[in-house]
Amino acid sequence: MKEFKIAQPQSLKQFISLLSEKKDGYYLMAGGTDLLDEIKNKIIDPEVVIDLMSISDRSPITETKDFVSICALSSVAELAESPIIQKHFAGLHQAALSLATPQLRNVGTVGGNLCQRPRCWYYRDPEVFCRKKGGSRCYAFSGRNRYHAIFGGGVCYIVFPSDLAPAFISLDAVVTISGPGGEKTIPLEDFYTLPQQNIRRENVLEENQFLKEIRIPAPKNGSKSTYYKFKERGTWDFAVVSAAVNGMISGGSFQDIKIVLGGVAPIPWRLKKAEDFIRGKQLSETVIRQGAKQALKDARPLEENAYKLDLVEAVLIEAVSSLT
Amino acid sequence: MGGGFGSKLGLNEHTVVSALLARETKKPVKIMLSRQDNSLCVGNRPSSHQTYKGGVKKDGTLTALTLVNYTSGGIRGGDRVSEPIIDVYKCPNVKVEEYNIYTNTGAARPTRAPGLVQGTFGLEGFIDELANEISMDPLELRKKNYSTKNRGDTGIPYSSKGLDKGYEIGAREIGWNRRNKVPGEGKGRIRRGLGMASGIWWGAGVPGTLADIKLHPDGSVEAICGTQDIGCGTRTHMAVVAADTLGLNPQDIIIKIGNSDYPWAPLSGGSLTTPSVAPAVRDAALKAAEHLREMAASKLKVPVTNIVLQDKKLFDKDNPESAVSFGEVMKDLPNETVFHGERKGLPEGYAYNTFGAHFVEVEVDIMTGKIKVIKVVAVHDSGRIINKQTAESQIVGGITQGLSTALFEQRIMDETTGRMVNPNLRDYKIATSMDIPEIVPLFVDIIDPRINILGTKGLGEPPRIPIAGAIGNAVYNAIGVHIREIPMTPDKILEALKEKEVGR
Repeated sequence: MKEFKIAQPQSLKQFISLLSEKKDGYYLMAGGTDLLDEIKNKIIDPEVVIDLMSISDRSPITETKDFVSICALSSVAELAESPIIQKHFAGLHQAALSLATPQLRNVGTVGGNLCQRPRCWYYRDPEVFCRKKGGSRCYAFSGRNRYHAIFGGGVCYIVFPSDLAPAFISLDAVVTISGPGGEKTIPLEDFYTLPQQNIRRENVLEENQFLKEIRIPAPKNGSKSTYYKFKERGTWDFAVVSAAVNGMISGGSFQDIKIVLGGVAPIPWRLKKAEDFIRGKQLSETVIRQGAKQALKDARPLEENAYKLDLVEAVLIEAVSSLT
Repeated sequence: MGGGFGSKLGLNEHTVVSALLARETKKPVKIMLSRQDNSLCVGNRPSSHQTYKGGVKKDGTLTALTLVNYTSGGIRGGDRVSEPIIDVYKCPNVKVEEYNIYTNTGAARPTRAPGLVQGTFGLEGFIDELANEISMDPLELRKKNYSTKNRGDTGIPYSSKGLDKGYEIGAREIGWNRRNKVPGEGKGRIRRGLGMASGIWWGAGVPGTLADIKLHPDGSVEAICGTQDIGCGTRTHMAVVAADTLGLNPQDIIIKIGNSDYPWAPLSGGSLTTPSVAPAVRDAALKAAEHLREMAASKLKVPVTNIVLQDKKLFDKDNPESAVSFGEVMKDLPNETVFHGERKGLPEGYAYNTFGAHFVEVEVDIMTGKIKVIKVVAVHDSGRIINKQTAESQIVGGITQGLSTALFEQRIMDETTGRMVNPNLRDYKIATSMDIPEIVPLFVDIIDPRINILGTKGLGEPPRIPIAGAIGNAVYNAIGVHIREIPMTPDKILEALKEKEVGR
């Protein structure tokens, strides 16, 4: 590991003025559970690491009539333990608890989780120069790809590893993006970008922008949410396939439903075709399975990951039927 | 530091470097390998591709078994995996072919029970497939072909073999009669199944192992041996044996190990530390006890044969009132007095082996392909158990490790880059505490009549051997398809279920 400097802005204001000088080699670090790993594994080689945890003006998770707001620097454990989240957003609560281990949840932040880098083993190998790192090929495409994308690949087959992102998107969360140039709020769903749009990163953040806050609209009366994560082992595992579902059921059918998958695509993957199929129909395992099959027509599995198609069906059945 | 499991039995560049650095600096040198370094240069258990054929009569009598094994150990040889097929079951005709495939990759290393882990997974799964072919209870098939002599009942008798007792205890403890009579006959999304597997290993210990007991006039006792403790509980068993022989408590014994100036002992591998070191300590302690008895006899003026050592006292067995404390006798020692002990030879004409049987209950989710191990009952024949707590820990550790490789662990190699893609603990998945089921460690408690003066056998490797095969057989019983490859990951289960559905 090369030596690097650490900048510790004390306030949001100091941090933003630091961002106006930001250039290549400057990296933001919140909990550090991902960034330090990247440094130690020689994937990145920072000149300056900006330690966000030194910023003192942070707000707790708060609730207003219209929305719940979460500071990006809240720890995942804070999110999981928040009575507000537990009361209104069961799916998000489950997603937070399913994530990593208690130790990592204590240190990792919500913002960090939403902005983490891919865990593709070719990307994480310092000796492999893949497309995501500026190289000319995706080694996963014809290589070892049991954990890679079945949707949205093409130039790069990473999967976006976050558990929180699918849950937030299913709840129509919006994010505030901030920086020296001002602030804007966009749906989290629009925050993520496919490799075709920009191979080097996974979201719309510009060089000197950061994710400041996440807001979830107050739940509609009667809506319910869930998160089901299929992992290979009991804990400390990224989702092989996961599903966040949010919807409103009456008379045995969904009036409204939103399904977002994790572990299957370079971004949290919205399953619109399954939503359309399931919406309005009397719910049964067959209906859910058929809905999944509709959506899976768009899947392009690689040599070793076709089993994820079966898992999408299984996970969807598990998640959707748990809401009835 | 850390577990050895055999990988540290040989030299590596870094071990040579650390020795040279220590010589140069005259200071202890610590070498730390990262997980990535460890994956790259320390060696692995060799892979194995096995093909079995066999003949069995309708009544379960085995008539012939054959095995062809291809093993790859990189630039060094792979593992011989044929021990189970040659030895475990009574079978008059066994043919084995084993081939090494050499590749330009790092050399293989012994990994806890080299060869027998691979061979047992193959053979035990095959035995269950045979049982299914003739619609026989797989445990009955094993009992039907029980052997009391090695080489498939054609060789020399085992000095002791408690596998039959292990079958009985294990079947009772797991509730063997609850298994599916026809594999995969259960209904619903979650399928339950029971399976078992037998295991054989060596572990007789090494004749010629030496140990000393040193008595001091101040009352202290040392047990000394040039062995080490890499997790086998060496300090504990030495203290237990010395204390038991001298009528003391284990904490009264000062243990000295880990120095090549001490009396000779073999390396720690092959499950041979306890059956080598403990009998040598016992031999030395018996001599020390005899000496103390003589001293007490003359002090108490009773015949030597009447003196008993117990509860830190030496007393006349006919008149316990006539007693002298251990410390009082030791005071009369003119100076420190050393007693040499040796682990004596193995009588010829017998085979010395350890045995074990694992019984497993699993649940398989046929929609996701996920296996959940519910319970493991492990019954082991390792002769006299010197210390139950460390022995039970050895079993729990072996099963944890074996379960982890049966379900999760996989060294994933990339052909394009020639690199291992998962040299870290995130992608090389090891079982977590959430994946470990209830484990019931049991012993058949048969004291081997001739293996050594304690009747004890090794236990380091045996618990690692049957577990993967037993899990595989339980999965077979649950879903009606036998998975012939480990790790048994969800993709393989889903694939196997599909093949079953289309009747392939």
